[in-house]
Amino acid sequence: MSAADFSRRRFLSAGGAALLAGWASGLPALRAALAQARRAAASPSPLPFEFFTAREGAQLATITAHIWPADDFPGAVETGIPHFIDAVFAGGADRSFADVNFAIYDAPIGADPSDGGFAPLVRDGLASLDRRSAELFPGAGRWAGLDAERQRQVLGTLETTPFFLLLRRMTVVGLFADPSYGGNAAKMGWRAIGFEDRFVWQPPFGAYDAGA
Amino acid sequence: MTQAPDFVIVGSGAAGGVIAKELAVAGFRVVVLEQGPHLTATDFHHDELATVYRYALSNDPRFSPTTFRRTEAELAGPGGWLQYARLVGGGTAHFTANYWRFHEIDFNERSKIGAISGTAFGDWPITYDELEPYYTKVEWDIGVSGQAGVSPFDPPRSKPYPMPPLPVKSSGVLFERGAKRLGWHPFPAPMAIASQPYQGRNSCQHCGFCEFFGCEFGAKSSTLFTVIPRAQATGRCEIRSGCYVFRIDVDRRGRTTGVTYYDAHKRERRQRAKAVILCCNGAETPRLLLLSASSRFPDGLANSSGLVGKHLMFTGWALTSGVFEQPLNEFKSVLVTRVLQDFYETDPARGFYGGGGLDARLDFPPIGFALSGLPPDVPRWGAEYQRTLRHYFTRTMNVACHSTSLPLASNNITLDPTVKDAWGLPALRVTYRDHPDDLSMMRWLQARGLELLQAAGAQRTWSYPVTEQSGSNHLLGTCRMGTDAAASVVDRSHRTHDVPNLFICDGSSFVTSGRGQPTCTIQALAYRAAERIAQRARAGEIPSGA
Repeated sequence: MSAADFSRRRFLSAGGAALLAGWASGLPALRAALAQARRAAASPSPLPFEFFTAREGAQLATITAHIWPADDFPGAVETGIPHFIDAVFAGGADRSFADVNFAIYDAPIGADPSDGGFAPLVRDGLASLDRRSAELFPGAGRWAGLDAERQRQVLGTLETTPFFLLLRRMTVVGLFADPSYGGNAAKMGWRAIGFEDRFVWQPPFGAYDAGA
Repeated sequence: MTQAPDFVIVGSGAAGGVIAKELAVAGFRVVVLEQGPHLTATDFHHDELATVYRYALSNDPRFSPTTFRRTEAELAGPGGWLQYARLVGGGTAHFTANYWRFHEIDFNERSKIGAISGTAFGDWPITYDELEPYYTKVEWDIGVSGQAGVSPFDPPRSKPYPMPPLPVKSSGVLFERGAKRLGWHPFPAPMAIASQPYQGRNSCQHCGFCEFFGCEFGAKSSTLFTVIPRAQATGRCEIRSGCYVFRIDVDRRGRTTGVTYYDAHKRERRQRAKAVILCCNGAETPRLLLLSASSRFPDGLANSSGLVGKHLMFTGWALTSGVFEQPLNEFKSVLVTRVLQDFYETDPARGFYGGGGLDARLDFPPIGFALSGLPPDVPRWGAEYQRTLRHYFTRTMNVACHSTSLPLASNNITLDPTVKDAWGLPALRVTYRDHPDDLSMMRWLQARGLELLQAAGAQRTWSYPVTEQSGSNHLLGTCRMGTDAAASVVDRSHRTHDVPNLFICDGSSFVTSGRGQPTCTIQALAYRAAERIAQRARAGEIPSGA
């Protein structure tokens, strides 16, 4: 698939658009939208996934929220990352998250896409969460039902696996890539780190060249 | 063109663009074959995902795989990060635009300090003085912003820069502060970016996306925006994009008759020419010569010396980082605004060969910074990762360290015996291991970078260990220039020793690596080569093939 094909796969989910409208119109609306997004995330039937099953999608969303949590600012879920990742797989663009593509800026995740791309890696990884949870916290039930700290501990045992490193890579890309790819909703990833996409600037650029 | 043109130039980058324009202006008929598309400023954008990780402008390993190994005893596997652009303008379309001249020492260091055992360290057959007028020509014809006379280590120059330096960024101010406290000599970075309107082009709008990206304002002094339009305006130069040249054709007398290429639809085409000039870069030029092996030239064309592809040099590289109290906002404007070259020359007191320079920058676009810009002890996910990233992105700067790379016969470009590219041609195989002195120099400079950041008042500094390089965007030395036909591939005028109407000018011509920024020198060589090629053509000294 060429870069142009990938661009054509750019999408914005309906739910993402609603969030976007909220984020874009200032802080009160942002907080309202954040609350709405949290309700959506907590509801039994959140936004549908195209590629992943509802259960996989919910696990995926929770993992991205652990990678980039919400606090006083929107987290990965509110920034559209689970659906960004879903769209990456639905569009067959997951192969472009291979180590060869990220050689310049990311340590290798240690696995190449198989014939089925990265989908088997992610599906197997998601399926292993409950098993891991049972090993670590016998009798405590499924990973999704654990409290946040225990969920984190389970993920901690996976943090050097290709599965987790790939999702970390995809989450980071979704947060800070152009919003037209479906993540970085309302530029919330960029806003979080202080990047502005104005692309035309005049000096002074920062605090230290102000007097130069 | 029904009649064979005077010249076919393969590649439209730093050297190809310059030579095309110079020869066309001199009255010759020229066809430039470029593998990539002919984009314009309006095609360029700031999409980091498409540009940096999906290779929208650069060498895409899905179609053009590279294999890599450390030594010739190993079986090469996928790898080898050779970053070069595939579009009209070549590397100059997506480069950072650092335009350091070489110094005198880069041309005659072998004579000054002696041989280095196990290496092909040697003098160039030309001197800095001989190249100086062409450096000046680059700066004025292409358009370079800078300030002469600030650095006491500057080589002599016949003319100042045509444009003042770009406005200093916070990283430049801090770099200057730290360097001066240490008694070093920072100066405004020479950049091939217009600091004011120049020859009908826009000045820089400080978008902040130079490295890897095309310039949507046409302010970057790429050959795409400068010499190539002027070549076309003569009416004697055709820029033909989407053409992948895979063979240089040779007649019975051993003269080239032109080239064979795949067009954008993978149809085989021929382009005849009276003479051929290769400007494909230090990896693709030797590959094309090796692909052109024939019964007459079984080891590859122009390879009687056995040196085609040998002595691959990358230039050394190391990075240091520091975080400051206030926002620097390094995502704005050009990458580099201050440089220093206090450590340019080899110092025997260091205990190893080499030299280099430092510059101020933030070497990461947003995704890149989020992936790998933070200190090694910061978690890679979770609340602390998030807190740190949110604080550090606008407050971090790097000091980048650029240094020498020694020519070793065991570092080279060859054809992979099994892996093929998307056209079914043998893939590039890279064999590369840094010389121990090169690694020592990188580490030594990295320590200076950290000192500088600390002297500048960084709240915290960090670096990642220097490791052996497995790729670069500087590809040098693989068809080196020399007077001895047994020890070089091209002569002082860039003519191949073996084929009288075949010329090569690009990074492959280098004898030494310089100290980190080769493009200004590639173009100075190109202006000089074009002048000499034109003189020989006028004098009837370039025999054409049958």
